[in-house]
Amino acid sequence: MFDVINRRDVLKSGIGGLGMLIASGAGSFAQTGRVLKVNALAATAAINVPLQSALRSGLGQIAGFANAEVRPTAKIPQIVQEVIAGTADLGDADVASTLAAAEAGADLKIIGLSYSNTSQAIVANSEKTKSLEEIAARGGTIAVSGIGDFMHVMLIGVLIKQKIDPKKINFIEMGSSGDRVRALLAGRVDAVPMHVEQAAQLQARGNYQILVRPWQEYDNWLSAVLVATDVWLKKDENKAAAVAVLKASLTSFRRADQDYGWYKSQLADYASSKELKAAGDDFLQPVWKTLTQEIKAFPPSMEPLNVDQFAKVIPVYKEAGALNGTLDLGKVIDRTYLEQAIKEIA
Amino acid sequence: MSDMVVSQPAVTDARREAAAGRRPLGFVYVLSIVAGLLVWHVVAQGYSSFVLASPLAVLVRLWQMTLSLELPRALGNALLHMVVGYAIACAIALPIGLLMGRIRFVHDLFDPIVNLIYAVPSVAWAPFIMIWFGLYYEARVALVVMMCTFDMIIVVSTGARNADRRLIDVGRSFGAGPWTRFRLVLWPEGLPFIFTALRVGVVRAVNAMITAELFLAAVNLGAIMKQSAVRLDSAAVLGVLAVLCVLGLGLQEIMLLIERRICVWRPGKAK
Amino acid sequence: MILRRPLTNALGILLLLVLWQIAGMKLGDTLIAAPTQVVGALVDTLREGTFWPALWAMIWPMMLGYLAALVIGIPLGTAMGRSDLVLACVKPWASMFIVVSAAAIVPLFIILMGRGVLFLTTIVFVATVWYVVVIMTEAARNVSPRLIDVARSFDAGEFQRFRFVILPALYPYVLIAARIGLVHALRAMVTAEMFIGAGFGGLLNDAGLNLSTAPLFSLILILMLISIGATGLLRWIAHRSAPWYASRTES
Repeated sequence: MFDVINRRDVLKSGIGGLGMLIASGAGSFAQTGRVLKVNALAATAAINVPLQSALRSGLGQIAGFANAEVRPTAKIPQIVQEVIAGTADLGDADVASTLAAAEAGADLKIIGLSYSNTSQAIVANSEKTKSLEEIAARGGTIAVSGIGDFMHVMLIGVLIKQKIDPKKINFIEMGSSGDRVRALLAGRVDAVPMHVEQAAQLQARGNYQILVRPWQEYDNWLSAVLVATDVWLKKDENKAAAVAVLKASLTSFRRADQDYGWYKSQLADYASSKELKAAGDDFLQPVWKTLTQEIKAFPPSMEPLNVDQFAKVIPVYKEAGALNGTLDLGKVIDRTYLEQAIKEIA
Repeated sequence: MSDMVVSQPAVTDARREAAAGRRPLGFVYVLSIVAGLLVWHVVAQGYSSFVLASPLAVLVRLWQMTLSLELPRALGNALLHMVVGYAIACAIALPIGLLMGRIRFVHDLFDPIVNLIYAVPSVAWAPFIMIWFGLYYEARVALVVMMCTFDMIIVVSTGARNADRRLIDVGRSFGAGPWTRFRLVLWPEGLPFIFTALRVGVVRAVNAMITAELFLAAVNLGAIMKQSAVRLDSAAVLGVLAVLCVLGLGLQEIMLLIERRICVWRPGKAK
Repeated sequence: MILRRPLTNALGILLLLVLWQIAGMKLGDTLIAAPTQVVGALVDTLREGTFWPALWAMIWPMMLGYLAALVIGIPLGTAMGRSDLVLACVKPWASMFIVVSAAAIVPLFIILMGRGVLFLTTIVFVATVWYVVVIMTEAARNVSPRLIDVARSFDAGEFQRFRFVILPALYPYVLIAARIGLVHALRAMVTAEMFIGAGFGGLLNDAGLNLSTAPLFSLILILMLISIGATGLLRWIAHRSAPWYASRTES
């Protein structure tokens, strides 16, 4: 991936007089189809793999398109910002900042799911903490990626369901997932959210247990969506691009559900964590089962992309104060490209 | 602008020149700021307010935040860890820098360490600080100390090494003991460098103040910036940055004023 | 006497290493990897295919931004030191921007300039130039008036005074500005890369995801060595080209 960016930068920087010549001649990186600019999180976890595979290799197999330029973005809100500013075509964005931006008036459209539900769970040191009630009782601390982000809101929803006052827990915002895990290990915080495979790695190293599994608490805790702006979608070639991306994603989801071997090979190519890439079947297969069967993260036709499903999570966001609730979901969620893609694949 | 020129006959001429030029130059200062704001305004027209707010929008937003007391509270709390961190950094950096400047052994011992740590971006230290100091107030103070100390040590030790040996030898030849030499030669000779170090420290402290709030637990101004970013409230984000810029500018000018009052003998530019 | 310097240097580093080893052993490698573990991770990192392209991708845009900062900052700072008018124009901006951390402006610059070389070079430039300017301003203001008066008394014109008195007096400070500028340039570059997940910063991001801190520390160590190496090179240049200012350039 660094190679791709490096060479493209060489072209752009205009050392390119020569570079241009090489580019038009050489086959190695001459792009024969359209290259979409898609912003995504810098860290690819196990649940992100199918979409990354679709963007980085699946898309190139669709006529007229080359593999997308996936641009790693360190800060979550920035993904949405760049899509709105027009410097990116599409974004693999999180639900919280997408809905907040839409509520603030940005003309965003949710055209697909990056994955369904979430694979993040709340993990604590089992020697020190046995339950959320305990944390609340002693005024403990939970570190989240952002105040008002989808895991923070998820927790508040669970606390309210369990009749625990969320104000008793001290939520602090720490942007980096690595820092959050280290804070937990150092005993500086009582619990943090992390992906199931990270939790499994941690469990191998010590007494850590999962306190809350969102997929057991909620019907579907939607977390990551594919977004584009209305303005961008008005152009015909972009409409076709949206359909192409969704086709690649659906193909990827279906393969991930059915073919463990394929999923493992894609994980080895695209996951960020070296430890994950090197993991053996005894570690990966349970993770894959959890993702595909328990969490149902890769629905073969992205069924949960509909107004009703999203409407179920809005009240929780309202309760947490992350949204005002003034959003008209019907205007934001756009299934047309998805349905076109489903038709074309069938 | 009370710079004084060493060579005597030119003193009155230079003073008269400076006084005449003082008022128009204050005007140029202000004009420069206004020009910059205009450029900002023009550039912002080309971008949606979700991305880059115009100066007026920022001003309005700042006013809102001030009225709601959100901004003053955040700024006050942030200043607390900045000031404490800065004070600690001075207390560490000045003595060590002076020692490093005058005693060869101390210099050779600490020099590699200082340069090694100075080389790394502050973000990389966040995990260490979190382990030893936690995530809150103490950790923020520690990060401020960390970010200020090394720059200041480098400036002070460079200055201390430069104290003109001839002056020290003159002092010695008049029979002055080490403490007298320090008080009457080294200290005044080193004072300008110490002030420069203090100014550098202030710059780093303002920077560290916001960095601490962005990279450890986001609170106060850092929290405002992050949450405004999520809501695409770029006016608030830019507003906080503007406040920091003005704070930095103000503190540096104050330090320059203090320095000029105290170090009157320091040569200024000669025309 | 001549040998003592490197020995004491080594002693200082040794002390640091010992403290680090103790901390690493006490806290475990998930919190602080000990030097022994980091060395192993270092070898792994160097052997990895992604490391060297990432290193190169970091160095050349950084050098562009850094050189631009020197080319613009040195004359600008000098002019500010010698001319009150220029000082009044530029000082407010220098004082304001030097305070802003690269991390705070990166998101905005990504939107304004994209994610390519232009963005990286600009961030490095903006983060570095103000330090260069401030140092050169101090230097230019402090050129000893005695030197200038001597030149004047020999009837040297404005330009000759500049070329034969002021410029040489500034030279050692140019090298100090170059050294400090380089450190800031490197730091800004890594910070910017971390935001876009590219190059060396991207490697740091990925290493941060690991449960063991050894890969992360190995990268930080490499960064330190690059910085020390580069500033050491500049110091050597200073020594060779202006040895009569040895005490002033060494720090």
